[in-house]
Amino acid sequence: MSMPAAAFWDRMGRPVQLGEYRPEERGLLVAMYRAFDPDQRAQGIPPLHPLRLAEWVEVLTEGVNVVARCEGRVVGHAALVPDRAGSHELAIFVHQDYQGAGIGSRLLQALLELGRARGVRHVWLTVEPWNARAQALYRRVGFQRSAADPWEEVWELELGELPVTGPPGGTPDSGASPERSPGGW
Amino acid sequence: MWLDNSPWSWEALGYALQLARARRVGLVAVCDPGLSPQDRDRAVAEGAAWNVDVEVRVPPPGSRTEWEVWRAGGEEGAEVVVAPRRTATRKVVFGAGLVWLLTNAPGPVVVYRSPKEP
Repeated sequence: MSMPAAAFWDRMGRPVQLGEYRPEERGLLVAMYRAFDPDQRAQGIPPLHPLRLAEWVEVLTEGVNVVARCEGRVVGHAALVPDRAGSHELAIFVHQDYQGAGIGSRLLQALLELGRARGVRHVWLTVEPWNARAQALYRRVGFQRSAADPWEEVWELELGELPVTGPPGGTPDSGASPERSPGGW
Repeated sequence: MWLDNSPWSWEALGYALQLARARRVGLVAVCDPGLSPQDRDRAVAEGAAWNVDVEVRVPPPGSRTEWEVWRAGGEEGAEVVVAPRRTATRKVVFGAGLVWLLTNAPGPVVVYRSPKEP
């Protein structure tokens, strides 16, 4: 089953389309990460070295993947990567030029809905304790913090509990994406 | 070094063995309780392949691996080798035990980062 593409205007008035990642978009996806602000890397990803970046994209795209496209570019990417325990780990990044425009919230919602359609049930992620904006996003879509230490927190979500319709936070572009956020969503 | 059952930890063991051989010293491998006897034997065997004596230590009941690593580092006056975990998305995760060890280290700590990992 493929995911129907969803189109919307972001807060800056740019046309954005959300859709399932296609292998032919690999070059665009790698290009987004190569242009990604290194200051926004979190917990070691995305890798800086081009070779390792390419390998890492391979790892992520083995899972469930949704991208945000705008004017011929990939500007956002979210993935659910299977782990060895039968769960899926979430990663989400939005290019710095497209943050704060409501893309991250919709990208995340689209990913979780596609994941649920694909049979994903349990999703988790790690986030740095000081990344309050990312945590606010995760909380809005239903994640709950399950563990914490001084350097990282674990958040979890059972997809069966996910609200079915609409982006988080009300109107389509009112999801509180950050102006700038470590972790890069 | 702190040895757990992750691929990164086993790779770090290889690095620690190279260091030990170059310095003509032995290696203390403090094993997570979850490491099987076979894996402990494997650590010793890998040491033998590098001509390095490996002493395996297992935390006693009620203790924690990071405490034993800390103790071993202090007793031996040696640097400690650790490997952070990688998640499915390849995030680097330290965990509370490793953070405790880093902040209370008795001496130098080598945080091994695999050159094979993204």
